[in-house]
This record gives sequence, structure tokens and C-alpha cells, in this order.
Amino acid sequence: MSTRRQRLPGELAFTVLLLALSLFMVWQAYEISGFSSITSAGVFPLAATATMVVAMLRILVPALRAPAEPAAAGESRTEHFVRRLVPGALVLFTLATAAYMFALERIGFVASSYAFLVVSMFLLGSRRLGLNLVVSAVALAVIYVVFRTVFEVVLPTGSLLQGVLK
Amino acid sequence: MTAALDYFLMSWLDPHLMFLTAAGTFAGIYIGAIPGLSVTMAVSILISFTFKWDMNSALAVISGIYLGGVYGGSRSAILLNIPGAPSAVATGMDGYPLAKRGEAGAAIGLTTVVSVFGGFIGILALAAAAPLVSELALKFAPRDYLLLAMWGILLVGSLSGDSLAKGIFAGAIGVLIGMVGLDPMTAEPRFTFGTVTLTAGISYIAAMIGFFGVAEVLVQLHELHIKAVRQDVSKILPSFGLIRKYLPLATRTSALGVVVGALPGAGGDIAALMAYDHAKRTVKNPSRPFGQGAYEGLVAPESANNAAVGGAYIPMLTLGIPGDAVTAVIIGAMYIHGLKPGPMLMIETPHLFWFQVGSLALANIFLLIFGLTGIRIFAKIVEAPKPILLPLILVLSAVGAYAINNNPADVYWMLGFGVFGYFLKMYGFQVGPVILGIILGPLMDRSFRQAMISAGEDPVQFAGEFLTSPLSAAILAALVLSMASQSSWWRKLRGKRDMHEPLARELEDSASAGNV
Amino acid sequence: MQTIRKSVATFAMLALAGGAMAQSYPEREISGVIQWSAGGATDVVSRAITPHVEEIIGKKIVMQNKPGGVGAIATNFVYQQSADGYTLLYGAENPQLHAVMGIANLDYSKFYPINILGRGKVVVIANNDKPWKSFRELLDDIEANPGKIKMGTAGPGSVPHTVSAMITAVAKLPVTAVPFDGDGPGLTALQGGHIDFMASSLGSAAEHIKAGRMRVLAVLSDTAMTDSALGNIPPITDALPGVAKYLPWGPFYGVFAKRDIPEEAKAKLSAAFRKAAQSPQFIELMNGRHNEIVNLSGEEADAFLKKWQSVTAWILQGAGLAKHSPAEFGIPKP
Repeated sequence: MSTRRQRLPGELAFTVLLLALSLFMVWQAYEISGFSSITSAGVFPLAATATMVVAMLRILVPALRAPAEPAAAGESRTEHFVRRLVPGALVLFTLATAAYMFALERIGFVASSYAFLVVSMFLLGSRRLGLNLVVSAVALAVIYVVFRTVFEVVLPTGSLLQGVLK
Repeated sequence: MTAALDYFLMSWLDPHLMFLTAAGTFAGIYIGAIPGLSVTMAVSILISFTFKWDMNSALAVISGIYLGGVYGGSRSAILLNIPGAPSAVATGMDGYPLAKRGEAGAAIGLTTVVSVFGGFIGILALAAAAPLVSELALKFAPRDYLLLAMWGILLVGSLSGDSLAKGIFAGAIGVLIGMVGLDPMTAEPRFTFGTVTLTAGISYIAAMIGFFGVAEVLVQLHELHIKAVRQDVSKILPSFGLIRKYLPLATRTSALGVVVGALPGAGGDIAALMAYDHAKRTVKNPSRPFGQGAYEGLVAPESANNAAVGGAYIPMLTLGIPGDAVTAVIIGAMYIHGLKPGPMLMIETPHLFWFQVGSLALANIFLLIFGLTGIRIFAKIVEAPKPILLPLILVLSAVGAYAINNNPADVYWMLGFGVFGYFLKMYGFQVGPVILGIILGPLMDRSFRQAMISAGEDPVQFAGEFLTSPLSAAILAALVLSMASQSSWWRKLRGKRDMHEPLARELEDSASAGNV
Repeated sequence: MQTIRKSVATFAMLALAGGAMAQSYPEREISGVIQWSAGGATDVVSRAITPHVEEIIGKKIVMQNKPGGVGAIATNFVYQQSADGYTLLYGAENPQLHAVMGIANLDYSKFYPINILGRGKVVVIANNDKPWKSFRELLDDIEANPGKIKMGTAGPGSVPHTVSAMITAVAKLPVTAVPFDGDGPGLTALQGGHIDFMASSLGSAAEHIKAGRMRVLAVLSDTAMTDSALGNIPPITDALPGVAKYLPWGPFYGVFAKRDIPEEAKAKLSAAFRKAAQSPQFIELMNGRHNEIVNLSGEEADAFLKKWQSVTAWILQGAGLAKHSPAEFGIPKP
């Protein structure tokens, strides 16, 4: 209220992107059933997407007026964006997560989760390898027992190693 | 009457039943705390495994799991800002800021006490007024559900942080996510882009885990090297004075919880959100501003969602109509055990009713015991080093998202929503309204269309029905009053608050000037 | 951590259910997907038979509900799984109408019917406060007050929807049709007076009728039905003799797997379900819900499914409610 919010790097682009997404969704909502009736399947989707567009316009205006957060001395705009929003650890961790999800169905839950835990703990700066290995193993064992044995969730076994590891 | 008392005390006197109730409550707390493990899931698994047991044993475990599970959702909401269940979304709003201040122990303690209080109000309503409440619940027409959903969606205003427009956008995108898939009424595809996978819709648990769990993990990566706040666990039990102070609020929100819980089309999640909204609108001087660790922000939703448990049993036991997904599964179990849940159940097997009331009451006592022990260990979770904690949360989130539907696609949705939620959070959007939209959007869609069709698709007739039906008119009046009490002209009318605000601002300014 | 492990141990002890080592086919647990939500008619029948089957085949069947899209979501899901016999579809009649209703192209012809468990009866019920004593009086009232009377319905191809199609085919039915998510929510709204009448499976409505909370006007049959608890229910043909040509008609419940699962799995599952359907507990449940046990599998079940589809699809077409003609999909006229 008292302090005017500064605009973060990338904020304008994000806002414009969301506005474009909202407009696209309005079109998609219209495609459902047009304006055929007041109780058709498309009424609420249209209302929701139209609300998104209006709200986004209300967000865009102050975002344009807000002062941009000043970059640090000698920092390019990209560097500023990277430092504030996508620092290296975050990108690496997200990539590791994506890889983990991709591996889940291929090498199975146990192997992929263990690898992910150990690697990402190291990535995030926990350098005590022994501790990482033990904590990951114990936590995974507990998760496995709870989900697999008690809750009978059929965790992915992995298509590549089927028959080798079960 | 003595027969009723005998059945009421059955689970209290039989060590076997007592053990089962205790085990159920204990397990329920942890099931509730883990996002992705739901009470509905636990109960449906129990049913195949209690198939050979007698019905009483099965009902005793289920009572425990249900009460424990609804409470357990608050644990992860307070400690990690990841609600363990949709009914705990509101709890995190003020619970997590408390944990950040090192008051996780006190927050969990207070939550436990008010949850148990709400639970008892729900059980009391079940025991004393079940037929009355269920008749009231039947009176709710589609337009009344629409009013309730609108009441809930107003909470966007409370949850949107410093930009209302951003809150509204987040809420609308939540409604949009809730619409994806085949329309439940006409089976027309909505936002499926011609794909088969999207016809099933987007699992809202996957969305919740993504927007809260994964996005929160990503935000916390910025604070990797900030030392975690030490948690003060010396004072867990709230003082009597504190409890007495919140008793009126907790009673009001519990009553709300009972009624909303008893409605066949709404449950504890909506009750908790409405209760939070109620607290925010009526409490004049919260212990801290809402959203920054107000105790009232814990008391209201947590008493309401546990009161909703007793509420949900009301239509189930009196009419055989499920009050929510969990009671729907219990009804299925009753059929399998040779009972016939329906309006005749209380007449043909009154002992079952009193046994159920008794085991719920017993489970509620166990909830108090288990809820207040082990908090120390739990609070330590927050103190764990982030490089170890965050990957563990992520794996748990992934399994949880997967477990809901055994669907690997849900895990990708979770990650997608997580990354999107991260950028939303960084650019000043709140993710609370998204979940609000996902929960309430489909309810609004359905009830609006049913109400409008019932009114012959005539908008005038539709609007008129809100005034001609006494129940709708009453809800509408309450809704308008609660909104009006927030508006500036109302305050001017009362002529109090506006006087204080400039003064407060002046004080704030001078304080910040002093700092410089 | 320690507390978590303790709780796990408690549960693991409870979970130690013995299962004899099976031979070749079910070498791991099977997953069962239910088309309708927990607590509904299909769910109850599915969950009631499964424990008996588990006992016979010696492996667990892990059940989950995947409701939505009038059953299309679960049907699609099972169809996308590999044809190894480890994913079963517990469904009702709806997919047989998905094509003509323009919902999906997938029907049970792509699945192997392991067992058609049972068939339900359909009744027309009215709110207690309404004056109608018979179905004829209701029809007269509807004709006298077009658009004033509210009828509950569910998605396209559901029981209430099909029954209203049958009625429309032979009489006028100018009502306001309010859609609900299924029998259960519709019956709840009926008791609250938010709709005036509805066609529903007898299984869902029986207990409410018995308690006198709603009035049954007719049974969808050409002969009256007498039941000790429900009394005498007149047939719908008393008021509308023209409906007779569509009868007998009713919803059904069954278990399906993909058409090309291994022969061994087909044989074992069919045998297990056939035997389980004869267990006294299951029979009692089906009787209690006024369902008729069918217990058919393989070719007999296929014939049953085809006949059902052809009769119902052409009813909808005749009533002008079908989005596509059954002829487009090669569904023969009955």
C-alpha cells in the first residue's frame, strides 16, 4: 500500500503472455457452444475466460506504470532476470525434476526417486554425501511402504527394467 | 435410552474397538498430512480389507481415519505451506506465517484444540439434531448452492494479497482449470483440444500439489542458505484465556461447518473457506493482521472442517444420502456388509446410529491426545536443512499426485502447475484463489445451470426465486450483510474505523522514519 | 520419522492378508477401474463382488473410481492400458450409447465381457407433496401445464434420459428437464422438492420408497411388480401401452477387459467372476437392491450387449434425442 511495488524483470513479458493466453482461452470457450443458450456448457468457461482478460488488463496498466527494479551495477537485463527469477540452482533443480518424472515410467519409481534425491540434494548444496545417501534411502523406504504396501498404489515399475528389477 | 447409551459406550468399553479407533485416528493424522493420500482413498481401501470384519469394527476405524485425516491436513499446511488436503487450504494462510516466526508448535497446539472442539460440535449436532439438520440440508435448492459458492468465491478478495485484479485473475484461471474435460451435464468436451487424455479433466489434487507444493519448493530455493527459524516448542498447549477468547468464533464457525458439511453437494473444504472468510470479515482486532499469522485464521477453518465431519454423517445416517465423498464410500461399505443405508436405517437399526456417535466421540478424544503429542518432532521438520528437505518434499508431491489416479500424466501436470505457480508467486500473484476457483468453479457452474433450467431459462423468474424462497432470501440477506459490513459507507455509518486509520498511518510513518 | 514408522508398522500388521501363491496368470495384483463415483449403484455392485473374486484368484484387485463423462473417462482409460489382463473396467450400460450421443466412439464391442453381473429395474417416482396417484395423472398434469413440471435427469444416455426418450416416443412430455450428476443427487433433489418426478434405478430409490419419502408411480415393465416392502407397483404400460415395444429394458452392470487380453486371463477371470456371482452374500446384496442377476460371460454376454445397444440406440433415434443415427455405426435395428 505505502510502497509502490517495483516491476521485476520479465514481469511485463509474463503479463502480456498471460493476456494472450486469456484471449486464446476466450476463443476456445466460445468454441464450446457459442452463445447458444444461457445454460449451455460454454457459459461458465466464457465467463471465466472473459474475467481473466478483464483482470489482466487491470494488471497490465499498473505494471506498465510501475518503476522497473534497477539492475545491479554492470548487470545486463538477462543477468538481472536470471539472478532474480531463474538462478542456476532453480533451473538445475527444475531440470532434475523433469528428468526424474521422465525416468519414473522408464526405470521405475525406486531407482529414479533414489537417483533424484541423491543428485538434487547434492545440487542444492548438501555436501555430506553419506548423510544424503542414508536419508534418501530411509525416506524412500518409508514412502514405498506407505504408498505401495499400505495404500496399494501401483507405483511405476519401469518399462525398461521390467523383469530385471521388480 | 439406556440401550442407546449402551451402544454409545460400546467402543469405549471394548478394548478391541478402542484399539481400532485409536489406530485409525493415529493413521488418519498422517494420511491427512501427506498431500495425495486422502481420507476417501484410505476408507475405500479399508473396505476391501475389513470385508471379513463385522461392521462395527470397520466403522470404528473409519471414524478415526476420517476425523484424524481432516485434522491432519493442517499439519503440512502450517509447517510447509502445502495443504495436506483441500480442506486445509485456508489453514496455511495464517499457519505458515506462524511457522516462519518460529511458532509452529503453538499453531499446531491451537489447531488441535479447536479441531477437537469443532469435532465435538459436529458430533453433538449429529446426536441431538440429526433429523432436523438433514431436513434443512434437503431444502437447499440448486440456487442456494449457487449462493454458497458465490459466498466462497468472495474470499478471493481476502486471499489476493495487495492486488485484487491479480487475485481475480488467479481465481478465474482456477475456474478454467476446473472446467477442463467433459461437461458432467451434457458430456460436451471443454478445453480438451481434441485430445482423449484431457477428457478426464485435470485432477485438482495434482493442481493443488503443483500450485502449493512444487511452487513453494521453487520459491524456497531462493532462501537455500538462510538458516531456518528455530521453532519454539516450549509452549504448545494454548492457555485457557486464549481458548476462551476464541470460543465464540469457534462456535460460530463450527455451526457453519455442521450445516455445510451436511449438505450433500458441499463439504469440509468449502466449509473451511467460508469460515476463514467469516473470521476475516467479523473479527475486528485479530491477534495479527490476517495473512501474517492471525490465530483467528487457524481457529475458524480448523473448527469448521472438523465440525463438517459430524455434519457429513447426518444425511448419511438419517437418509442414506452421502454428505461427501467419504460418507459415499461408507454407504457402499454398509451395503456390502448387508446393511441397507437409507431412511429406514435409524428405525431398523438404531443401535448403529448410537454406536457411530460413540465411536466418533471416542476418536475425537484420541485426536486430542495424538494431536498434542509428537508436535516437537514435527516442528523440527521445518528446521531440517533445506537442501535435504526440498527434494524430499518434491518426491512426496510426485508420488501423491501420481497416487490420486495412478496416472503418470498427473505428475507432469503437477510440475507444469508448479513452474507456472512459481512465476505467479514471484510476480505478486497469490495461488490461494486458484484453488478456490478449482473447488468452487464446478459447483457454481452446475448449480447455476440447474437453477436457471429450473426457472425455465427465464432470468427474471430466476432472479425472483432468490427472493420468493425463504431459505434463499435468508442466505442472500446474510451474504449481502457480510459484504456490506466491509464496504466503506458502512464504516462511515458506524463512524469509527476511519478515524483510526489516518492515525495508524501516521504512527507507521513516524516509526519507519525513526528507523532510517 | 519414528512416529511415521510406528504407524506404518501398525498398518502393515493389519495388512498381512494371506494370499496363496498363484500360478501363471495373475502374477501380480489387478487394478479395477469403476466408471461411476464411490457410493453409486455401479460402485456398490463392483465392490461387492470383488472380494469374492480376490478369494478365488488369490490376488488383490485394487479398485479406483474414475467417474465423469457418463462413463467415457474410465472406458477410455482402460482402453489405453496394455492388453495384459491386469486392468479391469467395472461399468454400467452407458458406453453402449456413447456413439449415438456423440460422446465417444468407444463402446463395449472393443472389450471382452468378463461378466454381465446384473440388471436393474427402473421406476418412475414422484415427490410426496405432489397430488399424482398414478403415472397417468402425472402425464395428464404435464399436458395441462406444459413446461411447469420439473423432471430430474442425468447425462445423455443415462437411465432417466433414456426413459424420457421412450415416453417422448409415444406421448408428449413437455417438461423442464433439470440435469443432475446421477441417480443419487437427483433423488436428493426430489426429496427436497426441487424436482417433481424422475425415472431412477429401483436400487437407488428402494429404501426411500420404503420409508415413504417418495411415491413410486410406475415400474418400467409390462407387468406389475409386487414386493413385500414396496407393495404393488403398476407397470408403465397401464398409462402408456405404446412403451411395451421397448421392453424389457433396464440398466446393467458388468466387468470388462480389453478384447485382446491373453486367453488364459479371459478364462480365469470369467470363471472366477461366474463363481463369485453365485456367492450367497452377493446374491443377497443384488436382491436387496432389486437387481436381477444375469451372470453371463463371453459370447452370450456379447449377444446381450449387442441386443441392448440396438434396442436402446434406436429408441433414442426414434425419440429424436440421438445426435447421430445408430445406422452410422452399423447398429442394426432391433
